[in-house]
Amino acid sequence: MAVTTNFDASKSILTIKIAGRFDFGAHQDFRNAIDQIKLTTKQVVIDFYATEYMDSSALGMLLVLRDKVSTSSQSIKLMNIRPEVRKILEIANFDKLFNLG
Amino acid sequence: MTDSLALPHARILVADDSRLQREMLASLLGDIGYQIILAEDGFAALELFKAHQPDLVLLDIMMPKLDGIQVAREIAALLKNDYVPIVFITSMDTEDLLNKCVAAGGDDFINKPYNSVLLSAKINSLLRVKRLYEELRSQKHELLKYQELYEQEQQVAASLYKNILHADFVETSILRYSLSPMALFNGDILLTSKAPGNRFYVLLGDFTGHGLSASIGAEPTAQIFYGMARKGFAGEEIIKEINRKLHKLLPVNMFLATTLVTLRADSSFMEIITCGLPAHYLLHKPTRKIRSIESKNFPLGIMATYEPKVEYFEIDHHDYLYLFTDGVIEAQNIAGQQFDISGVMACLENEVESPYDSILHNLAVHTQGLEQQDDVTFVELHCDLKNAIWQSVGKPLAVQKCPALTWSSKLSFSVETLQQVNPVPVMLNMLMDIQALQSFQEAIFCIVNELFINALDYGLLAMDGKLKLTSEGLIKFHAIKEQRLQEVKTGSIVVDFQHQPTEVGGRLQISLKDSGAGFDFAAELKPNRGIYRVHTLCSKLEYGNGGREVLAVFDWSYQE
Repeated sequence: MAVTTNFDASKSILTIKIAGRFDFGAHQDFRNAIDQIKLTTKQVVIDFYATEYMDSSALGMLLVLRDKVSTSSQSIKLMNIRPEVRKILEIANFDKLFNLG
Repeated sequence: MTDSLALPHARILVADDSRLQREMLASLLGDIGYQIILAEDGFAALELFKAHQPDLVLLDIMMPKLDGIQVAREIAALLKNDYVPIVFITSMDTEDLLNKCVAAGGDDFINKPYNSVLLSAKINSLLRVKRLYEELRSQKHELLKYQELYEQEQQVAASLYKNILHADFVETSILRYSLSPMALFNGDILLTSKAPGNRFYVLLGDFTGHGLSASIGAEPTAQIFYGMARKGFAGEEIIKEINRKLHKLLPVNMFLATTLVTLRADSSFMEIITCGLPAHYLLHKPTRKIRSIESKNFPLGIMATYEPKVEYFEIDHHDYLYLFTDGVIEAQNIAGQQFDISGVMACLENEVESPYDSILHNLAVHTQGLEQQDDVTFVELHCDLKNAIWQSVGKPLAVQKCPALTWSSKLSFSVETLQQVNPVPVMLNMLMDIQALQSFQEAIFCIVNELFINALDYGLLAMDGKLKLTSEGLIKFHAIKEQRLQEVKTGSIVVDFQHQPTEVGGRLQISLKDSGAGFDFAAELKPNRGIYRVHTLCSKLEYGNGGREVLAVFDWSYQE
């Protein structure tokens, strides 16, 4: 598990990449990553390209992110989701809560 | 790198029979900042060691009375769990002697004549080792204390769990389940209740996360479930209330994935509300047909407002419903492979006698030798409520003997009220409060509920009952009902209760009037309809005014 962030200053987009298992072990790193969201951040992109698995505490972390990005001028996008991970998001109906790219 | 290594206040015991040596060492070490204790022979060294508990000992090997090696052995015997470095002062270093020193507990040697830099470096390094050792030991001690505390708390919580979650849990022949005693710490809960109207509720839930924090939502969930089920609230209302409470209570990152199943003795439909658990499977045993039931709603505690989708599945007594939390799917074998949906499906498709036992058996084989078997929460519900055998886990209700009284009560519900609440459980509880009729609660609920629903559905909202014959129709029926209820502007249902004593007990008269256009009550009075059961329960059932009014008379007698 590794969480890396990249901020595109020209577009004000913060990209958070999660590699490996997205579970409770990623909790602190994910928190640190979303602490980088500023009022001026336009979009937060979660890149699931290298995410192999996620559990319900990861769903909880996405809810914390959603709670943090609640102003109308900011958006969240989840992208590059592999089928196993998409399934977990869909079971919890998170496809209605997030833009799954 | 100078003073930090001097480890201020460290006490050093120096034992040497040569006064010159003692004084040289004392001045050398004293200059660095240590406290020095001096002993002139082995006996004195031991006595001073006991009295002052030094942090490090410098021992000359050759001393009168007790030599250095003997002193070291005695000190080692005194220390038990503590660690005090011992350094031997030596002028000859034959291997044999050095071996004896090490065997006696010596950590290092210094040679005469001393090199002061070398000496202080050695001492500092040994004192640092001692400090590390002590830190580790105190951390280990603290960890052990925490672990003990944690285990105690888990035990307390586990017993709370039993008391709260199992308070009104009903065991029945139609429900088989596998639930570890520590399931709560995986966030899993299983609740069942027999509700008025001959209904059986099963709620399986899985809170986010693990450990004690995952269990905080269990208590309010159980309270709401048992409380509302007992009063006769519908599954949808219970789910909404649990969501409302958890949304208020839980931190943002926590939620409850859950499913609530309702079986009715008088219905060939199973009602199910799915909120974020993995798919459930409905197996028709003779045909091996499997229907999969995917989650349709958000888990509870996330959304402020919640309108769950309710699904209906046509069932008969050959149908078995399998519910489980993700522990079953994610159970890993030694190679790290998950049991997966395919493991479940293989058992459902191939095992003729008991898929339940087969799944548990295969899971045990799969996870052989691994502890996580504890995570498995697995339920089989046989859709055969009519032949269910009940076994109450909680205390049986005390039989109350209350004399029949004379009273009456009139309740009027406007459309605005009906849009907000379901008054049937409220009315039922009011009746139970005035006249203790717990033994007849089932019958009275059935009468009041049926008459009220007919007045609302067919009277006030002019619904078409034929829709209720198929599962698709049932969903449509409820959708149209919800829509009409919100659209209708005026109207009311008036319920009148009158009670009086009789020779053998009491008589409860229930009359309802609705402001609708009336309905064909004769068409509804068929053996497969709810109203037919009311007919059999009452000594009198009369519809009038084109279906707008109804009077039901229920006679009860004292029981021995």
